[in-house]
Amino acid sequence: MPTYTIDPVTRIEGHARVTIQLDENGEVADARFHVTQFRGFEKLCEGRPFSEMPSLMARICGICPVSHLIASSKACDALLAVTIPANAARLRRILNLAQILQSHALSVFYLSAPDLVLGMDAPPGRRNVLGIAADSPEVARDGIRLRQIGQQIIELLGGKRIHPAWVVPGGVSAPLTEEKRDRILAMLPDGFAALDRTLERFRGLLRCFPEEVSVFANFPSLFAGLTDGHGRLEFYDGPLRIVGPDGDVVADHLAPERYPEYFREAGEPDSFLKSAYYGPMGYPAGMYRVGPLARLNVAASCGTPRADHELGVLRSFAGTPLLGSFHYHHARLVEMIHALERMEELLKDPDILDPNVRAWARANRREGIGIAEAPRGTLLHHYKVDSNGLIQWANLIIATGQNNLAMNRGVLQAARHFVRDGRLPDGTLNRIEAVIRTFDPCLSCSTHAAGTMPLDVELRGPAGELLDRQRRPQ
Amino acid sequence: MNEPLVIGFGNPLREDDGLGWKAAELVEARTGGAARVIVCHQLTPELAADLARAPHAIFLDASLTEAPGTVRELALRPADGWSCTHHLTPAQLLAIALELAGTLCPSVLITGGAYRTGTGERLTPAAERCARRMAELACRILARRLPHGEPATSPRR
Repeated sequence: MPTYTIDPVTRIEGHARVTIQLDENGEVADARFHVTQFRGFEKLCEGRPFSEMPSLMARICGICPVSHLIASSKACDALLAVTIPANAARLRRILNLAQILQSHALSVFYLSAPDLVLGMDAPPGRRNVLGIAADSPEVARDGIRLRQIGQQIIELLGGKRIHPAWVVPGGVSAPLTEEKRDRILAMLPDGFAALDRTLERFRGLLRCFPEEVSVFANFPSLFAGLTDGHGRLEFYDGPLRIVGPDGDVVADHLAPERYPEYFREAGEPDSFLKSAYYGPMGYPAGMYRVGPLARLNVAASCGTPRADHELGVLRSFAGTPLLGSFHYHHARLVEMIHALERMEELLKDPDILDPNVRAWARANRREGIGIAEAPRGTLLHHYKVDSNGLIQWANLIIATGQNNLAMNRGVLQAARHFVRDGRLPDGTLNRIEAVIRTFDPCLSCSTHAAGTMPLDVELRGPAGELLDRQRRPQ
Repeated sequence: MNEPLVIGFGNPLREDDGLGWKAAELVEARTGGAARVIVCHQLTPELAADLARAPHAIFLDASLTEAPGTVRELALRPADGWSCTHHLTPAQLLAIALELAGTLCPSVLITGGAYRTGTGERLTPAAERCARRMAELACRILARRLPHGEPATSPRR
């Protein structure tokens, strides 16, 4: 049976490979997304003091270290058995929203805009940031500015752009100064203006990709994400909600501490990326999606006016719930507006300069769980410590693993649609990669794996013989 | 007028791979704010916006291909094209800045040959000396405020 291999999958965070298996008639029988890297952060942290965990876990990823900082610190808050000061929670929220902004900007403008602006069939050498800058400099400028704003806010709050150590067990290490607050507030109008221009353009682009909209991981599934307890979009805290493909709430007000009851993980022999599923429905029927698309499906509204307006635009175009993963891109833009609006709201709160930002305690519990919404979806850190506060066991549930079943099914759906006559031309190769890019997977996070991952796509025949292979260099 | 830009990059957790960081910090200390100094693990597209505003720029990096301790200065030209992911070379960054600003920021790359790049936050003693020479060269270039850069390209030991 012929098999195609795409190796590496490009413009994703990390390294992966796709294998497409053909049947005797040359039709796609199966397609698999393999993650071939491994890092093992869950093991290497064993024996370390729990207080080191936020900084250690932030090293999992250079793109979303803030997400790990926050989930890890929340797990440590649980070990301390403290309620952190209200202003510490506000400041952590701002940092997390800045992270959402910068990471989504990277995904939309640097990784996916080359496909959306230049076209899926544009020459591979042009499908990158330089190609965007040459073709549509205003798009490149806006993308760069939005990412800059997110990173500068992280730097102002956390002291540095990557791996800031400001979020600590019990709160944050220093309060916000008036000068920094004013500098952050002064950046936000630029961000709103850049997003207004982007959305104006993006709404027009959506109509250029009807085929991709219809077959890019467009199928029924469950969706999971945090809400604020009142059904609104939430990134930092709150209970989990799971909705079904018809929009009905399957489970609500789920406490993160009970995650083993509803989130389970299965391993596959051809990938280091575990596949999470909704436990009560079993594997693989319990396939669910997380991240921007899922968050906008579990939330009734964003709770901020501009984002709610754009959510209305998205839903009027794509329906409710949003089933097609192509809409992840638009969902990211909605969340970026929301991030700016919420940051503005929080920064204008008169209590934001309150110097009480940290609760002090020793470890008072042996087990702690922390949850937050990372750019790519729900992130959960779970630690167990001994009587000296040394880590005995750690488990991380990462967004990309939770999307793994849907990514695999999405690759299969797209391969069945686009692979023709046993051939894999570049436009097809790129579309299969682009399905994966809609999820914006972070393989370093999800496998805790080292290095970068090139994409390798193989097309194999009925007897396993290699028919075609496309490899991309690192 | 905006200040000239100095970008030191590399991984300071890998011993001499931190040469660019160290040299940039030395430049900052010696120039007292006359140049804008940025240190980072790798070059990302956001830096193109800073580059587009700068009258000229100096990149500082460790080199694994040059002989250890060698300090080399290279005039940069914008790259023609590439398949990039998340990190860029100085020439690629220059190409983006050129597209964004429409004008070329005269730029040079100063590299220092690394002796060892194992795990560790300190430079080897020989690399410390190399970082000082890189910083001296960068300061001389800043003092000259090169017009559309035609710097010397001879290696220095």
